[in-house]
Amino acid sequence: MKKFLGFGLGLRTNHYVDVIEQKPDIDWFEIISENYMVAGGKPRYYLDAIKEHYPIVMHGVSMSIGSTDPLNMDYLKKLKTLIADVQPEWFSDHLCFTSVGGINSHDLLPMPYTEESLNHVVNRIKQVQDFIGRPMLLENVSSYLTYKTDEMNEWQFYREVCEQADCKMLLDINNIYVSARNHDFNAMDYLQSLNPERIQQFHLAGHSDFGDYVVDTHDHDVPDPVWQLYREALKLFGPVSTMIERDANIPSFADLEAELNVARSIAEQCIPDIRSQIEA
Amino acid sequence: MSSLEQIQQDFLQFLLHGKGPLAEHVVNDQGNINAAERVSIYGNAYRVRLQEVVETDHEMLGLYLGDDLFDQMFQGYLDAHPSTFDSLRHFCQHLPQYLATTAPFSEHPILTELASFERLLLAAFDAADIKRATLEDLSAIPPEQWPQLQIRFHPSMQLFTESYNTVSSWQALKAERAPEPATKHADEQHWLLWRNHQRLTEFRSLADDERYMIDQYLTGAQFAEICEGLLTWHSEQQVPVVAVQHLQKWLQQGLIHQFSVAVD
Repeated sequence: MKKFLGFGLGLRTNHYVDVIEQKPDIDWFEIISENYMVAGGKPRYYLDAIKEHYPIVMHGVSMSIGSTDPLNMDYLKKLKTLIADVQPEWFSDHLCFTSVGGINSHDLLPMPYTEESLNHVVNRIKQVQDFIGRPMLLENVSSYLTYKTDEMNEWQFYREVCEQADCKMLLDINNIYVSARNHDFNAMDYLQSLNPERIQQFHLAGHSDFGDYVVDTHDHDVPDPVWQLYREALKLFGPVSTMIERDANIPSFADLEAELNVARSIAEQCIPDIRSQIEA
Repeated sequence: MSSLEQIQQDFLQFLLHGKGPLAEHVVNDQGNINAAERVSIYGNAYRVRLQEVVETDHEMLGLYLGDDLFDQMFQGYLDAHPSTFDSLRHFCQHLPQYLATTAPFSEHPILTELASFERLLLAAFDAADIKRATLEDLSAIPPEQWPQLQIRFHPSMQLFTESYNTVSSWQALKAERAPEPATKHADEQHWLLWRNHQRLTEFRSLADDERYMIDQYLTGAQFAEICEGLLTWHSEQQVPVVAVQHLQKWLQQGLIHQFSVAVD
């Protein structure tokens, strides 16, 4: 069963004091795991205080699950320790590779959608889930290129990876929009192909539109086409824990809260009793 | 090499060097942008992301250098030290050494000192949270055991030594003032950085005797030995007073983690 946490935000350092002092009406927060893999100081102090009041989910950017490098066990040990400390509702990372030959690009680089990639990544997800001792969520990344060697499209690959590895999906609605624009596919084809049972979380975000292509910058408000796609996703998948992910040009907490209320309002239009389905 | 490995290797080579066969793996006739333009989106993002890290973690160094020299430093550093870290927090770890050994930056030693100082500020910011000793902990030590007193400092405490007017330049830039020209001190100057009780990072200058005491406690020296060493700066009557005053100051500032008494 997938747990519905309601409507959350990515926890960012410049909002720590707002969250502690105002105890805003946010259902949950997502943290970037790597930012808390430190011994102490402000990030860990505020996280400890905030998790007393809010459910937390953990979201990583450096697992590099698709890389042909060996799994980074040092990283996984740190992740496992952090999971034990934070006790998140769940943890996630991206369906991509970030490191090659031990060098971290700190970017979410797309895998070729081939049987070889599929087998490779499925085995690694199983190893990670066995090591951590709980299932993980995988997020779809936005992409700007298509490999000539692709044997399937992105959503076929994503669906197969999650089915075969028995993991959940963190569906980034904005990333689907960005990739649909960059690769000229219909975002609804993507959504309609997915198994609703697999979808545990939504990300909503903004992007930069350069006309001929769109870049997933996460530094703008959620634009109308992404809101529209969110409506469609809700109709297809029902209540799914939803959050706004803002990584740059971060506005005031009040502005983000107002944007989250737009998500709540849209969700209530699509599923009138959705707020009553939030699990404490 | 498998096809997956080959693509990943070519991707890395493109990010690091801006060339190689990556675009040959990419569909060219999709939409209004070609394969070369598509791969360049990744190349640009790679550099922009890491440049932002240097700008954030070394803000005053960036201001000191100005845009052109900063760009030159960033390009050189990125080529020499691509990230091998899980977290961007550590990407600039080698920057002080890079500045100390690479021309033209190495001709201006204040640059490596500025970078070192900023790294120590970061180290103090997210060092471990462990309990801090109190005046009561010190009072609980019987007077006859004071000669064997030892100290463990809080993990956020960092020591910095400058040969140039580095910290005053950093402070000027932070206050949006132009720093004085780089000037070498007659003698090295010492600084102490730490995260205080309110979790704010602080720093202050250290006189030679206090620096000596901290260095000695860090190597496991005992109170009596340190008092003997203080005779270099103070009279026999003054030494115990000075030694205890420093312990009290360090307690107030949250610098001490734990007292212990050495067992012979």
